[in-house]
Amino acid sequence: MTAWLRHVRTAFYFGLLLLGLAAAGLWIFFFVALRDLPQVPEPLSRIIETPPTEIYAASGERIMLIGGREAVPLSRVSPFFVQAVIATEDHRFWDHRGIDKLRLVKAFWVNLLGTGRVEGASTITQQLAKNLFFTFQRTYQRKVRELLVALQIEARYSKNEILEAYVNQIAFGVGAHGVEQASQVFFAKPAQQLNLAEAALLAGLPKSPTRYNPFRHFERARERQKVVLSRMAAVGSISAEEAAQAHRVRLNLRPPGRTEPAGSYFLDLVLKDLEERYGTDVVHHAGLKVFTTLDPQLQAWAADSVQNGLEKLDQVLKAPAAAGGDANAHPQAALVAIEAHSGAVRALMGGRDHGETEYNRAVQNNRLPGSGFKPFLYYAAFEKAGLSPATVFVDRKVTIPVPGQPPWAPKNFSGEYEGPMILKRALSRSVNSIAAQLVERTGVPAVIDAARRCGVKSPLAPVPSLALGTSGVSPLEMASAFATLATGGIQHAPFWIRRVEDSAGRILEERIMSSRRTLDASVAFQVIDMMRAVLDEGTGNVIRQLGFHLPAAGKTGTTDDFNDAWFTGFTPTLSVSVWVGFDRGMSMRDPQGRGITGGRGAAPIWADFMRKATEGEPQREFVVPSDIRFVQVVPTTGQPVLPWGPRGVDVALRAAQMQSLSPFSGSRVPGPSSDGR
Amino acid sequence: MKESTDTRALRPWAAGAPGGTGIILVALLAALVASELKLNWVERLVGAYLVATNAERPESGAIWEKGRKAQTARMAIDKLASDREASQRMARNAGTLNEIVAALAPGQGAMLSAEHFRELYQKIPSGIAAEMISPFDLLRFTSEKRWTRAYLEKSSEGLTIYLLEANNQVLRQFRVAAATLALMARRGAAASQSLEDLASFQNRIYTAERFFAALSALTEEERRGLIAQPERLLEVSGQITRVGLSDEALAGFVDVGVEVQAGSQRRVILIQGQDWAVWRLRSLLEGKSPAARPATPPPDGVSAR
Repeated sequence: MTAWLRHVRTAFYFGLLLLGLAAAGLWIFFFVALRDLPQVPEPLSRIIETPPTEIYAASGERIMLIGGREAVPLSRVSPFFVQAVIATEDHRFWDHRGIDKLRLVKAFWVNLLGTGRVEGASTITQQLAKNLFFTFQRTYQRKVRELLVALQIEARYSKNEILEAYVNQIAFGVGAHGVEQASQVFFAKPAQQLNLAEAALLAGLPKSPTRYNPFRHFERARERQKVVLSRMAAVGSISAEEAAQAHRVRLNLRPPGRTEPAGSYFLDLVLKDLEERYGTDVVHHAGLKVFTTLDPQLQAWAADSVQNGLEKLDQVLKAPAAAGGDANAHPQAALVAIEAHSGAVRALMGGRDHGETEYNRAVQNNRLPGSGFKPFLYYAAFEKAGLSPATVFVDRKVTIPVPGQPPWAPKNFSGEYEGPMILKRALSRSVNSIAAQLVERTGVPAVIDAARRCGVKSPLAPVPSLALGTSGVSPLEMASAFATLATGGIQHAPFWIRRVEDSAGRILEERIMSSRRTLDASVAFQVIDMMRAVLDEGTGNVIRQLGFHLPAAGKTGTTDDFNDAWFTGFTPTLSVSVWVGFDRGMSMRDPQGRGITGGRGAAPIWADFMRKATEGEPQREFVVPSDIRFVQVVPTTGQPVLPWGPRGVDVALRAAQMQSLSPFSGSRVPGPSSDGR
Repeated sequence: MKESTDTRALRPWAAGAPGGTGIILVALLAALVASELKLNWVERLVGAYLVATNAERPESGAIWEKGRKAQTARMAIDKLASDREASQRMARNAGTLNEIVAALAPGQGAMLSAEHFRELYQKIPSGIAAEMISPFDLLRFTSEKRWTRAYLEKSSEGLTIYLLEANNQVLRQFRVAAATLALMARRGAAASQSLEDLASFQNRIYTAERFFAALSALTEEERRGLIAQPERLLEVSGQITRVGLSDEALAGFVDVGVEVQAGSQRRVILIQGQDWAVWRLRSLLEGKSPAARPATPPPDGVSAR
């Protein structure tokens, strides 16, 4: 008995000694951890004071904030959200001083038992400390230092200040930081107006923003919402009935495809440009004011037109629904609208949904333009070979010899040949055999030169098939190059930033809208006149059928196997290019096997957009150069129509070309070839 | 007796059990733990200590790093803005186009008001000015009231000038070659040396009397071609003693060195005469037939005539 008691006594003192040692150890560890402990900024609101870079639309409307946070006081946050966050993350928040000791012991015990379940014990204050100062590396030292900073924050700031800082900096995914931004992104409403169901859904996201992203994994997010609601009920914030009722409430998430700020692809382009010029840190931390060329209304219409066009195309192709699907499983689209007389990009869509994929098909996607490239060929042929829209070529099977390669034998889209026809008709009907003859006559370098003068910057392969669009270009390039035609040959480099200022409003740079004449105005007009026929009676006739009746010109483009469908067209003021296709270059065919052409896939989007974009605008005609004369000719002979004969086709001829016509003679003075070799 | 037995029985237990100090320690420990659970005094103490020593600790961690990045970024932007403001200030105060060109680094630009640009334009030798842009075009732009500003951008090849509308749309752009800028820079430059010190004049130095005699034999147009603004020479104090003609032509112009004697001081003022006018004068001075020299500007000349 005595020995037993002696042992007890020994154990007691040994325990005391151990406790003493542990206390001393903790004391030393405290000072070691203290050594590199970061200073806490004062006031705490400084964490959200980084001046944001602000991006403005041409209308003056602010369209994006970078770097800064849209901080809101706690009084402007729905109490449901505050209760939900506290119930889920730290239900003893109001009682502890930075550490929840009971939860800590419980977590320690669970982790010690090694059940495989890792129990977290971080309080809201600790999470705030971690987010502000530390990396996400899981080490004991980091944990202790995080805890010490939490104690300091608790000692220095009120619970409301801590909570306010916390809700304004947590990440909710989809680029949303802070409750106000999250509320706008997910529910398109201020944080103050969140109801219980919405607040519970949002409060559940920070645990794993990607895993619970309601746009992608709605059911999973709803399960998480249920957990949050039951936690709220468990801690007494709400009753079990209220929790059940809130879970049944239908959530009005922002519609899929409308989750990103307006013009997200455009903003990506602006950001990339700014980062290249000023560096990432400046863009994200210096508080720039960037004034862009974006027209928010046009952008909204562009987004609508692309969405509507793709939805219809999905139905035609029987493609799977867009939301939550694989980005490669359904067709994508791009649209670029450029102000012809300045080069300002007014609207840009780089895909179906920026939230789904940030790949900017309007800029990065160099896809084959197909026949959309032909206007450059025709311009080169008129300028270099002296041909005119009335020149006759024969639509027939052709074989073009290519040095060192097998001969090139392009086929018409229809597979049929129509015999002699004037070049205006050949372009409006997009006849490939005549285009091949033209490139043989004009030479590939002249076609490349014409494209370059219009503003095409992408590499162009010097092969005859180039004339049929076998070198990739982007929709931005196409819209810009066609804008050069729209202005009668004056090229404006496309741009998207008008002015950049620092946070004090001092100008750092402003855009000088310079231009240069690169095309002959009369030749350019002849091409425009031919491209008008594409809309009025050619492959782009669907534009008129869909109700767009203002003067406009354009060209469809479709590549082999229907991988790409294009329509690029312009009015005298606006040039717009639309591309449709699969990212992986798959063929677009309906269940009957019929392919999607530029006229069927892209032109409806173009027409829908242009109808809205030009609504209420007066009818503006293209400027007709003084040496242009309009003559009605027979489409198969190029001869002027006889007064008593059937109606012909109007062609625009330069004064010099008029001499080669013998009015009413029925014969043609030898001049530009009409043999169609 | 029983009591005594019991006490004896307890003695060894008491001897083995922790003493009073131990009990006090345990009690104290329990009190400490209980009070900590109730009052969180450890957190409060540590927190207070950390608050007190906050200023001594390093500004490290994500938020400070972000702050530093913001500061560096703001400084970089501040420098950009200051540089731009400085070049704008300099441009506003510049008296000649060359002062602006001298102050700009390649790639830099300066924005001027249309009025200021017109003032600078008037100070450019008329031949060079007309080659840059016709004064009639400037008159037209001015009367149309669309022209509000001019943007001057320096590059290694020279200077590009954009005449702008209010929304920065370019009304006209033109380039002034580096050689022309160099020529303009030399115009009116006073050299302290005599004409003999300037190598390009060594072969053709004439007395003022002979020079002006030959000058008076030229037509008014030729004289204007040689000295575009003679009133500038009239403003010079001192007496013109000798005149030299350079052997070198640059961008259609030839340097004419006017040596002026003021008291004991001599200096040379450089002006630029159009090459065809200089050649006419040289023909007269050297007694050659004028027909032997080009009577019209060479292809790369800048004369507007």
